[in-house]
Amino acid sequence: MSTPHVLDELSAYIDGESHDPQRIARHLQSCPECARRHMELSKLSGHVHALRAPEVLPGFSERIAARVQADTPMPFWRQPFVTQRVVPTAWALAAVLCIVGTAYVVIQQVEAPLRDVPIATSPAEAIDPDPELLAHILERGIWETPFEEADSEEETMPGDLSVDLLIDALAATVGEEGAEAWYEEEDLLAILETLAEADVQILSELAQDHWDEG
Amino acid sequence: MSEIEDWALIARAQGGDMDAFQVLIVRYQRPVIHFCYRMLRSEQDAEDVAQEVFIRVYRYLKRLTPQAKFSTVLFGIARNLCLNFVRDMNRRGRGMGQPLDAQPALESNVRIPSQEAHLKEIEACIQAAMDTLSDDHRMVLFLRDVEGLDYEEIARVMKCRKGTVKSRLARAREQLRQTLIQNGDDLL
Repeated sequence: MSTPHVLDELSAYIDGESHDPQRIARHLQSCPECARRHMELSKLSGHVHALRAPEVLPGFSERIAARVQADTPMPFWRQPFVTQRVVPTAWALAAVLCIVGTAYVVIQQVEAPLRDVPIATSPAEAIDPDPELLAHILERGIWETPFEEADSEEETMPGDLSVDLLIDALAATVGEEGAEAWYEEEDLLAILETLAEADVQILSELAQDHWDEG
Repeated sequence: MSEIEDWALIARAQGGDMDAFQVLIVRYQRPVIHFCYRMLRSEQDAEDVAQEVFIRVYRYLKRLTPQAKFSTVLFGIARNLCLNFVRDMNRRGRGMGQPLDAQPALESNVRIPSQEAHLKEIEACIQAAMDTLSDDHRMVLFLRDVEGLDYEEIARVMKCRKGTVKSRLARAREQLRQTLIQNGDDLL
Protein backbone atom coordinates (compact mmCIF):
# COMPACT_ATOMS: atom_id res chain seq x y z
CA MET A 1 0.00 0.00 0.00
CA SER A 2 1.51 3.35 -1.05
CA THR A 3 1.40 6.34 1.28
CA PRO A 4 1.35 10.04 0.28
CA HIS A 5 4.72 11.56 -0.57
CA VAL A 6 6.50 13.42 2.19
CA LEU A 7 8.62 15.71 0.01
CA ASP A 8 7.44 18.87 1.74
CA GLU A 9 8.26 17.42 5.14
CA LEU A 10 11.76 16.25 4.38
CA SER A 11 13.47 19.51 5.24
CA ALA A 12 12.09 19.49 8.79
CA TYR A 13 12.73 15.74 9.04
CA ILE A 14 16.40 16.25 8.21
CA ASP A 15 16.60 18.93 10.88
CA GLY A 16 14.95 16.72 13.48
CA GLU A 17 12.03 19.13 13.69
CA SER A 18 9.38 16.88 12.17
CA HIS A 19 6.20 16.26 14.14
CA ASP A 20 6.00 12.62 13.02
CA PRO A 21 9.48 11.34 12.20
CA GLN A 22 8.48 7.65 12.48
CA ARG A 23 5.86 7.98 9.76
CA ILE A 24 8.34 9.73 7.44
CA ALA A 25 11.03 7.16 8.16
CA ARG A 26 8.62 4.35 7.29
CA HIS A 27 7.61 6.13 4.10
CA LEU A 28 11.20 6.63 3.03
CA GLN A 29 11.78 2.89 3.22
CA SER A 30 9.03 2.27 0.72
CA CYS A 31 9.18 5.31 -1.58
CA PRO A 32 12.25 5.60 -3.88
CA GLU A 33 11.31 9.15 -5.01
CA CYS A 34 11.09 10.54 -1.50
CA ALA A 35 14.16 8.55 -0.47
CA ARG A 36 16.17 10.07 -3.35
CA ARG A 37 15.00 13.57 -2.46
CA HIS A 38 15.89 12.91 1.16
CA MET A 39 19.38 11.91 0.12
CA GLU A 40 19.77 15.00 -2.09
CA LEU A 41 18.62 17.36 0.63
CA SER A 42 20.89 15.66 3.15
CA LYS A 43 23.86 16.06 0.83
CA LEU A 44 22.90 19.65 0.18
CA SER A 45 22.78 20.32 3.89
CA GLY A 46 26.21 18.77 4.23
CA HIS A 47 27.65 20.98 1.51
CA VAL A 48 26.26 24.13 3.11
CA HIS A 49 27.58 22.99 6.46
CA ALA A 50 31.03 22.56 4.94
CA LEU A 51 31.23 26.16 3.77
CA ARG A 52 34.36 27.59 5.28
CA ALA A 53 34.55 30.81 7.20
CA PRO A 54 36.95 33.46 6.00
CA GLU A 55 40.12 33.77 7.98
CA VAL A 56 39.81 36.20 10.82
CA LEU A 57 42.40 38.86 10.28
CA PRO A 58 44.83 39.30 13.17
CA GLY A 59 43.91 42.02 15.61
CA PHE A 60 40.18 41.83 14.97
CA SER A 61 39.23 41.83 18.66
CA GLU A 62 41.85 44.47 19.44
CA ARG A 63 40.39 46.75 16.78
CA ILE A 64 36.97 46.35 18.34
CA ALA A 65 38.37 47.03 21.79
CA ALA A 66 40.01 50.19 20.47
CA ARG A 67 36.76 51.31 18.90
CA VAL A 68 34.86 50.56 22.07
CA GLN A 69 37.34 52.58 24.10
CA ALA A 70 37.02 55.46 21.66
CA ASP A 71 33.27 55.07 21.69
CA THR A 72 32.90 54.98 25.45
CA PRO A 73 32.52 58.41 26.99
CA MET A 74 35.14 58.91 29.64
CA PRO A 75 33.99 59.58 33.17
CA PHE A 76 33.51 63.27 33.79
CA TRP A 77 36.55 63.51 36.02
CA ARG A 78 38.79 61.93 33.38
CA GLN A 79 37.78 64.05 30.43
CA PRO A 80 40.59 66.24 29.02
CA PHE A 81 38.73 69.46 29.66
CA VAL A 82 38.40 68.57 33.32
CA THR A 83 41.90 67.20 33.81
CA GLN A 84 43.63 69.94 31.82
CA ARG A 85 41.54 72.96 32.69
CA VAL A 86 39.09 72.52 35.52
CA VAL A 87 41.28 70.64 37.98
CA PRO A 88 44.33 72.96 37.72
CA THR A 89 42.05 75.98 37.92
CA ALA A 90 40.33 74.53 40.97
CA TRP A 91 43.67 73.87 42.63
CA ALA A 92 44.84 77.39 41.86
CA LEU A 93 41.60 78.82 43.17
CA ALA A 94 41.85 76.72 46.31
CA ALA A 95 45.41 77.89 46.83
CA VAL A 96 44.42 81.54 46.41
CA LEU A 97 41.49 81.11 48.77
CA CYS A 98 43.75 79.42 51.27
CA ILE A 99 46.27 82.27 51.12
CA VAL A 100 43.59 84.94 51.32
CA GLY A 101 41.85 83.15 54.18
CA THR A 102 45.07 82.76 56.12
CA ALA A 103 45.96 86.37 55.52
CA TYR A 104 42.51 87.44 56.68
CA VAL A 105 42.79 85.48 59.91
CA VAL A 106 46.26 86.81 60.58
CA ILE A 107 45.17 90.38 59.96
CA GLN A 108 42.14 89.88 62.19
CA GLN A 109 44.34 88.64 64.98
CA VAL A 110 46.89 91.38 64.59
CA GLU A 111 44.61 94.36 64.14
CA ALA A 112 41.32 93.00 65.45
CA PRO A 113 39.45 96.01 64.08
CA LEU A 114 35.95 96.56 65.31
CA ARG A 115 33.32 95.98 62.76
CA ASP A 116 30.80 98.63 62.11
CA VAL A 117 27.93 97.00 63.89
CA PRO A 118 25.06 98.55 65.75
CA ILE A 119 25.56 98.92 69.44
CA ALA A 120 23.12 99.42 72.23
CA THR A 121 22.44 103.03 72.88
CA SER A 122 19.68 102.80 75.45
CA PRO A 123 18.55 100.50 78.28
CA ALA A 124 15.46 99.58 76.31
CA GLU A 125 17.58 98.46 73.44
CA ALA A 126 19.79 96.64 75.84
CA ILE A 127 16.85 94.67 77.24
CA ASP A 128 15.55 93.79 73.83
CA PRO A 129 18.78 93.76 71.88
CA ASP A 130 19.17 93.52 68.21
CA PRO A 131 20.27 89.99 67.19
CA GLU A 132 23.19 91.42 65.28
CA LEU A 133 24.23 93.33 68.33
CA LEU A 134 24.05 90.19 70.43
CA ALA A 135 26.16 88.37 67.93
CA HIS A 136 28.65 91.18 68.03
CA ILE A 137 28.78 91.09 71.77
CA LEU A 138 29.27 87.39 71.92
CA GLU A 139 31.92 87.58 69.28
CA ARG A 140 33.82 90.66 70.39
CA GLY A 141 33.51 90.56 74.04
CA ILE A 142 31.40 92.43 76.50
CA TRP A 143 34.05 95.00 77.30
CA GLU A 144 33.90 96.43 73.82
CA THR A 145 30.33 97.60 73.95
CA PRO A 146 30.17 101.19 75.11
CA PHE A 147 27.13 102.56 76.76
CA GLU A 148 27.17 106.11 77.87
CA GLU A 149 23.72 106.39 79.35
CA ALA A 150 23.87 103.73 81.97
CA ASP A 151 20.96 103.90 84.32
CA SER A 152 23.09 103.78 87.37
CA GLU A 153 24.67 106.26 89.65
CA GLU A 154 27.49 103.96 90.34
CA GLU A 155 30.51 104.29 88.25
CA THR A 156 29.93 102.29 85.21
CA MET A 157 32.61 100.05 84.14
CA PRO A 158 33.17 99.21 80.57
CA GLY A 159 31.02 96.27 79.80
CA ASP A 160 28.45 96.75 82.53
CA LEU A 161 25.62 97.09 80.15
CA SER A 162 27.12 94.43 78.08
CA VAL A 163 26.59 92.09 80.96
CA ASP A 164 22.89 92.84 80.73
CA LEU A 165 22.98 92.24 77.04
CA LEU A 166 24.80 89.05 77.63
CA ILE A 167 22.18 87.97 80.12
CA ASP A 168 19.54 88.69 77.49
CA ALA A 169 21.49 86.65 75.07
CA LEU A 170 21.71 83.88 77.62
CA ALA A 171 18.01 84.15 78.22
CA ALA A 172 17.45 83.47 74.59
CA THR A 173 19.72 80.46 74.84
CA VAL A 174 19.18 78.97 78.28
CA GLY A 175 15.94 80.67 79.26
CA GLU A 176 15.10 83.39 81.69
CA GLU A 177 15.74 81.26 84.75
CA GLY A 178 19.24 80.38 83.74
CA ALA A 179 20.03 83.94 82.86
CA GLU A 180 18.62 85.12 86.16
CA ALA A 181 20.70 82.56 87.97
CA TRP A 182 23.82 84.03 86.57
CA TYR A 183 22.64 87.49 87.26
CA GLU A 184 21.61 86.87 90.83
CA GLU A 185 23.90 84.17 92.00
CA GLU A 186 26.72 84.86 89.67
CA ASP A 187 26.91 81.13 89.26
CA LEU A 188 28.67 81.35 85.98
CA LEU A 189 29.80 77.75 85.84
CA ALA A 190 26.25 76.44 86.29
CA ILE A 191 25.18 78.48 83.32
CA LEU A 192 28.16 77.58 81.25
CA GLU A 193 27.47 73.90 81.70
CA THR A 194 24.21 74.29 79.85
CA LEU A 195 25.80 75.90 76.85
CA ALA A 196 27.36 74.47 73.79
CA GLU A 197 31.10 73.94 73.96
CA ALA A 198 31.91 76.72 71.52
CA ASP A 199 29.68 79.11 73.38
CA VAL A 200 31.22 78.07 76.68
CA GLN A 201 34.62 79.00 75.37
CA ILE A 202 33.45 82.40 74.22
CA LEU A 203 31.54 83.14 77.38
CA SER A 204 34.36 81.96 79.59
CA GLU A 205 36.71 84.34 77.90
CA LEU A 206 34.22 87.16 77.98
CA ALA A 207 33.42 86.60 81.60
CA GLN A 208 37.03 86.33 82.54
CA ASP A 209 37.79 89.55 80.74
CA HIS A 210 34.81 91.14 82.32
CA TRP A 211 35.80 90.18 85.84
CA ASP A 212 39.37 91.13 85.21
CA GLU A 213 38.36 94.54 84.04
CA GLY A 214 35.74 94.90 86.74
CA MET B 1 30.55 25.73 24.89
CA SER B 2 28.43 26.62 27.85
CA GLU B 3 25.82 29.28 27.48
CA ILE B 4 26.12 29.93 31.19
CA GLU B 5 29.70 30.80 30.50
CA ASP B 6 28.61 33.27 27.83
CA TRP B 7 26.18 35.00 30.12
CA ALA B 8 28.66 34.92 32.97
CA LEU B 9 31.07 36.73 30.68
CA ILE B 10 28.34 39.18 29.75
CA ALA B 11 27.69 39.82 33.43
CA ARG B 12 31.38 40.50 33.97
CA ALA B 13 31.49 42.77 30.93
CA GLN B 14 28.46 44.60 32.27
CA GLY B 15 30.53 45.28 35.35
CA GLY B 16 33.21 46.89 33.19
CA ASP B 17 35.45 43.86 32.68
CA MET B 18 36.82 44.49 29.19
CA ASP B 19 38.77 41.23 29.22
CA ALA B 20 35.52 39.28 29.54
CA PHE B 21 34.16 41.12 26.53
CA GLN B 22 37.34 40.32 24.62
CA VAL B 23 36.82 36.63 25.36
CA LEU B 24 33.34 36.84 23.89
CA ILE B 25 34.68 38.56 20.78
CA VAL B 26 37.31 35.90 20.23
CA ARG B 27 34.75 33.18 20.84
CA TYR B 28 32.24 34.48 18.33
CA GLN B 29 34.26 36.46 15.82
CA ARG B 30 34.51 33.62 13.33
CA PRO B 31 30.79 32.69 13.14
CA VAL B 32 29.75 36.32 13.02
CA ILE B 33 32.24 37.17 10.28
CA HIS B 34 31.20 34.04 8.39
CA PHE B 35 27.53 34.97 8.65
CA CYS B 36 28.25 38.49 7.38
CA TYR B 37 30.50 37.14 4.66
CA ARG B 38 27.79 34.83 3.31
CA MET B 39 25.32 37.69 3.34
CA LEU B 40 27.56 40.42 1.93
CA ARG B 41 29.95 38.40 -0.26
CA SER B 42 32.95 40.50 0.66
CA GLU B 43 35.51 39.75 3.34
CA GLN B 44 36.22 43.40 3.95
CA ASP B 45 32.55 44.33 4.26
CA ALA B 46 31.98 41.26 6.42
CA GLU B 47 34.71 42.28 8.84
CA ASP B 48 33.47 45.87 8.98
CA VAL B 49 29.91 44.81 9.72
CA ALA B 50 31.06 42.12 12.17
CA GLN B 51 33.02 44.77 14.05
CA GLU B 52 29.90 46.86 14.19
CA VAL B 53 27.98 43.88 15.55
CA PHE B 54 30.29 43.64 18.55
CA ILE B 55 30.30 47.39 19.03
CA ARG B 56 26.50 47.29 19.17
CA VAL B 57 26.61 44.46 21.66
CA TYR B 58 28.93 46.51 23.82
CA ARG B 59 26.69 49.57 23.60
CA TYR B 60 23.64 47.55 24.59
CA LEU B 61 25.52 45.54 27.17
CA LYS B 62 23.66 47.01 30.11
CA ARG B 63 20.32 46.08 28.59
CA LEU B 64 21.22 42.49 27.80
CA THR B 65 19.44 39.90 29.89
CA PRO B 66 20.20 36.17 29.82
CA GLN B 67 18.42 34.43 26.96
CA ALA B 68 18.49 30.90 25.64
CA LYS B 69 21.62 31.44 23.59
CA PHE B 70 23.86 34.45 23.40
CA SER B 71 24.56 33.61 19.75
CA THR B 72 20.92 34.37 18.89
CA VAL B 73 21.48 37.91 20.15
CA LEU B 74 24.63 38.20 18.08
CA PHE B 75 23.09 36.82 14.90
CA GLY B 76 20.00 38.96 15.41
CA ILE B 77 22.16 42.08 15.43
CA ALA B 78 24.26 40.74 12.54
CA ARG B 79 21.13 40.09 10.51
CA ASN B 80 19.87 43.64 11.01
CA LEU B 81 23.22 45.20 10.18
CA CYS B 82 23.68 43.05 7.09
CA LEU B 83 20.23 43.96 5.81
CA ASN B 84 20.96 47.64 6.47
CA PHE B 85 24.27 47.32 4.70
CA VAL B 86 22.72 45.65 1.67
CA ARG B 87 20.00 48.30 1.54
CA ASP B 88 22.56 51.11 1.73
CA MET B 89 24.70 49.53 -0.97
CA ASN B 90 21.71 49.14 -3.24
CA ARG B 91 20.82 52.80 -2.71
CA ARG B 92 24.32 53.82 -3.67
CA GLY B 93 24.15 51.69 -6.76
CA ARG B 94 26.66 49.15 -5.53
CA GLY B 95 24.60 46.01 -5.79
CA MET B 96 25.38 42.92 -3.80
CA GLY B 97 25.37 40.66 -6.82
CA GLN B 98 29.12 40.61 -7.25
CA PRO B 99 30.81 37.28 -6.76
CA LEU B 100 32.36 36.52 -3.41
CA ASP B 101 35.93 37.39 -2.77
CA ALA B 102 38.34 34.58 -3.28
CA GLN B 103 37.05 31.62 -1.33
CA PRO B 104 38.51 31.44 2.13
CA ALA B 105 41.15 28.90 2.87
CA LEU B 106 41.13 26.63 5.85
CA GLU B 107 43.52 27.89 8.43
CA SER B 108 44.89 24.81 10.03
CA ASN B 109 44.18 21.94 7.69
CA VAL B 110 46.90 21.27 5.22
CA ARG B 111 45.38 19.88 2.05
CA ILE B 112 46.95 18.70 -1.10
CA PRO B 113 46.29 21.00 -4.05
CA SER B 114 43.79 18.71 -5.76
CA GLN B 115 41.69 18.38 -2.61
CA GLU B 116 41.79 22.08 -2.06
CA ALA B 117 40.78 22.77 -5.63
CA HIS B 118 37.91 20.32 -5.35
CA LEU B 119 36.67 21.90 -2.14
CA LYS B 120 36.87 25.34 -3.66
CA GLU B 121 34.92 24.14 -6.64
CA ILE B 122 32.16 22.74 -4.44
CA GLU B 123 32.07 25.89 -2.37
CA ALA B 124 31.85 28.04 -5.47
CA CYS B 125 28.92 25.98 -6.77
CA ILE B 126 27.08 26.10 -3.45
CA GLN B 127 27.69 29.77 -3.02
CA ALA B 128 26.58 30.52 -6.58
CA ALA B 129 23.38 28.63 -5.91
CA MET B 130 22.93 30.37 -2.56
CA ASP B 131 23.33 33.72 -4.26
CA THR B 132 20.09 33.06 -6.09
CA LEU B 133 18.24 32.87 -2.77
CA SER B 134 16.63 35.81 -1.08
CA ASP B 135 18.42 37.28 1.94
CA ASP B 136 15.95 35.65 4.32
CA HIS B 137 16.31 32.24 2.72
CA ARG B 138 20.09 32.49 2.72
CA MET B 139 20.05 33.46 6.38
CA VAL B 140 17.86 30.60 7.56
CA LEU B 141 19.95 28.17 5.59
CA PHE B 142 23.15 29.49 7.13
CA LEU B 143 21.81 29.59 10.67
CA ARG B 144 20.52 26.03 10.39
CA ASP B 145 23.15 24.22 8.35
CA VAL B 146 26.27 26.15 9.29
CA GLU B 147 25.54 27.33 12.81
CA GLY B 148 23.22 24.50 13.76
CA LEU B 149 20.59 26.65 15.46
CA ASP B 150 17.24 24.99 15.97
CA TYR B 151 14.03 26.41 14.54
CA GLU B 152 13.13 28.19 17.75
CA GLU B 153 16.47 29.95 17.88
CA ILE B 154 16.36 30.85 14.21
CA ALA B 155 12.87 32.28 14.72
CA ARG B 156 14.30 34.47 17.48
CA VAL B 157 17.08 35.69 15.23
CA MET B 158 14.80 36.28 12.26
CA LYS B 159 12.00 37.74 14.40
CA CYS B 160 9.42 35.46 12.86
CA ARG B 161 7.41 32.41 13.84
CA LYS B 162 8.81 28.94 14.04
CA GLY B 163 6.46 27.81 11.28
CA THR B 164 7.85 30.52 9.03
CA VAL B 165 11.36 29.23 9.63
CA LYS B 166 10.25 25.74 8.71
CA SER B 167 8.63 26.81 5.43
CA ARG B 168 11.49 29.16 4.50
CA LEU B 169 14.03 26.41 5.03
CA ALA B 170 12.05 23.95 2.95
CA ARG B 171 11.72 26.47 0.12
CA ALA B 172 15.35 27.56 0.33
CA ARG B 173 16.59 23.98 0.11
CA GLU B 174 14.30 23.12 -2.74
CA GLN B 175 15.39 26.21 -4.68
CA LEU B 176 19.01 25.44 -3.96
CA ARG B 177 18.58 21.86 -5.12
CA GLN B 178 16.92 22.90 -8.35
CA THR B 179 19.57 25.54 -9.03
CA LEU B 180 22.36 23.03 -8.59
CA ILE B 181 20.62 20.60 -10.91
CA GLN B 182 20.03 23.34 -13.49
CA ASN B 183 23.65 24.43 -13.27
CA GLY B 184 24.67 20.84 -13.94
CA ASP B 185 26.64 20.67 -10.72
CA ASP B 186 27.14 17.07 -9.84
CA LEU B 187 26.95 17.55 -6.11
CA LEU B 188 23.77 15.74 -5.13
